[in-house]
Amino acid sequence: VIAKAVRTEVLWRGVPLAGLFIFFTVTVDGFASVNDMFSILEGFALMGLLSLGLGLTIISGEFDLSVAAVAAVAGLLGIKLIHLGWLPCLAAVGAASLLFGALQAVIFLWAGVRSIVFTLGTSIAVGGLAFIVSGSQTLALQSSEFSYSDAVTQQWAVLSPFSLVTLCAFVALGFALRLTRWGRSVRALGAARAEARAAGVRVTATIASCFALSALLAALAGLLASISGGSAAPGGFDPLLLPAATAALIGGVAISGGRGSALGIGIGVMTLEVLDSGLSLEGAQSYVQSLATGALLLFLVATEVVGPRVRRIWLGRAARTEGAVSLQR
Amino acid sequence: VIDRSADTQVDAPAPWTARILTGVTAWFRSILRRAPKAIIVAIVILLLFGWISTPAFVSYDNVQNIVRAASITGLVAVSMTLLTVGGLFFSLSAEETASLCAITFAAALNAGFDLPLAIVATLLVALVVGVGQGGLIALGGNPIVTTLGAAATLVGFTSVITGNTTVRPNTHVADFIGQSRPLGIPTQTFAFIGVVILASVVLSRTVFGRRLTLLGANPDAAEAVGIGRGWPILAAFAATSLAAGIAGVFVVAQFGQGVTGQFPTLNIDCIAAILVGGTSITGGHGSALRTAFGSVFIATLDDFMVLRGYDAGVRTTFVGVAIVGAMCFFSRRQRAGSK
Repeated sequence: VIAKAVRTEVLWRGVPLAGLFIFFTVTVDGFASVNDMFSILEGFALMGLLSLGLGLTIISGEFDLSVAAVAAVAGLLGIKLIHLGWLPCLAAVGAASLLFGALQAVIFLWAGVRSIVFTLGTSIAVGGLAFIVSGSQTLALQSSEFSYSDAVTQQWAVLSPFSLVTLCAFVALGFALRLTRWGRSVRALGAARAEARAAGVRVTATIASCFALSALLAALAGLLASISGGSAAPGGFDPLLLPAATAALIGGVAISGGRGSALGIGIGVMTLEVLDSGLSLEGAQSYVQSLATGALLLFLVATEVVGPRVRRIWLGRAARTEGAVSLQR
Repeated sequence: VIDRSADTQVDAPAPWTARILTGVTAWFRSILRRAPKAIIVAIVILLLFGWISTPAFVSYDNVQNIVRAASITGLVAVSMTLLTVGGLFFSLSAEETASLCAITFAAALNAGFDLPLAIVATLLVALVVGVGQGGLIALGGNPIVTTLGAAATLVGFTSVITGNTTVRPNTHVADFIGQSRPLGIPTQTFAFIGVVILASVVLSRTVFGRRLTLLGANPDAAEAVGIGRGWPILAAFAATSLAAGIAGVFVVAQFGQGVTGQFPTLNIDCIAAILVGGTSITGGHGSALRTAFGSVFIATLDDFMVLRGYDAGVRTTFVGVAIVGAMCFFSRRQRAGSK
């Protein structure tokens, strides 16, 4: 099962990634050097965690827009608490984020509000909280705390402790999604909520677990990125929300829910990181990347929307009713 | 309540002036009956509280400030209410569209366009942006994801065409639009009131408004009675985008510049105004009047917090909590009512 899944994902999602990679290797000096690969993987480590959590909620048929704000608060708390040592700091931030994520899910399910708008609201509130926590300033590590930063930033060829953590998270969640009962529940809830509920899937518990994991991964991303960078600013992760969502969609996660895998999300994040690294090595401004990411997201939305219609026209009259059914979902 | 004006009409046909008068009073009474009492009470409490703690709060100048701030936000928020009522949540690209239109307007004036021509060109740009997003969403795209993508595209686009600089118009022909005060009231407020009346009439009295409401309340029912998603959604997005375009024109006329990121909190403020006013996020329920009061409330709160010296974080947190709270409260109430 796994081998088959890996093969189809790599075949379909890997083609643009490989194409982009070869293109930049040929056209841009210094691309795909060991140091550039390291920086690409560092970018992957940060955005991968955000995108993995966000992607998980999209697969479950919801949408967690609060990941960037959670990462910002977690980063600020990390800078403030790291003097206690790794374990207490990770435990405190991790527990708080798990609780926050689960609570979000419980509340929006209770209130009957769609998660995408609910988390839009909470992301505004949590984003404001980040300004309060930091006193509207950039927080930096004390010089006595630089050893914590060094522990995360050490370079092992192209890997670092940070990117290893992210890779482990991808492997663990990938197996959990594909092989466990929980993973099947998540995908079933995303594909057909009413049917899954009727079949006995526990809706609140499963959705809450997805949002708790999403908040935990976002908090981990914010914490590790802030500590490795040595500083954290409120609103510092806001520009990552859009690429994180785009990466998940590139990786084959359907906005309508039910479809997607950790491997696909990983390939999606790598595609964006390669694009990002190539563009910035060519000297493009950050707003060019914003333009590229935004246009890419619109294109992905368009293909998801228009795709079934085109297919319906190709397949002709016989498939028309079937296409209509899938559109309604 | 027995409507006595209707009885007299049956007995003897009244002259047309009297009939119009009774029609208008009946309409006015129905507005009063449906007025969002909670939000009005909240505004009054806030004003009283502000007046007691900071007497300068309820001065003529400050109230004028509040009204002007509420007007620009309200203009866009009231149009965006069409989206919310239609079950399309919000547009997250309003501030980016407004910035694009501000830049377009300033650049058009610089290129030597007449004032009316510059305004028409700006609104055309807004229309194209709105119809583009509306088209994708009418086909089935998620409104939040689509407008989020459009917002990033617009930010990138405006930064690229301006080279990330500020565009200043080299004439003062447009200044009267943003700075004059006929009858002592800012022009923005006239536009705001105009949009509120227009949106109210459109939502409650036109076929388009009814269709949009049904689409929001029950998409399946709308489909069953043969109402397509296409035109209502396209029109609602065009209206929101046009309102953002008008806001862009006003801001250039008032401050004499257009730049990427000119409206840093417009999206959040619009969402807050719509939700705090009591329009339901689940669609099918809401009114322009509610959003109008919602934007006055947000502007009053904002002004109060600035006067009291709270920093941006406290303000943003408060607005965020208000958004989440209003969302849950009105959604729960609507569900309880429908059971």
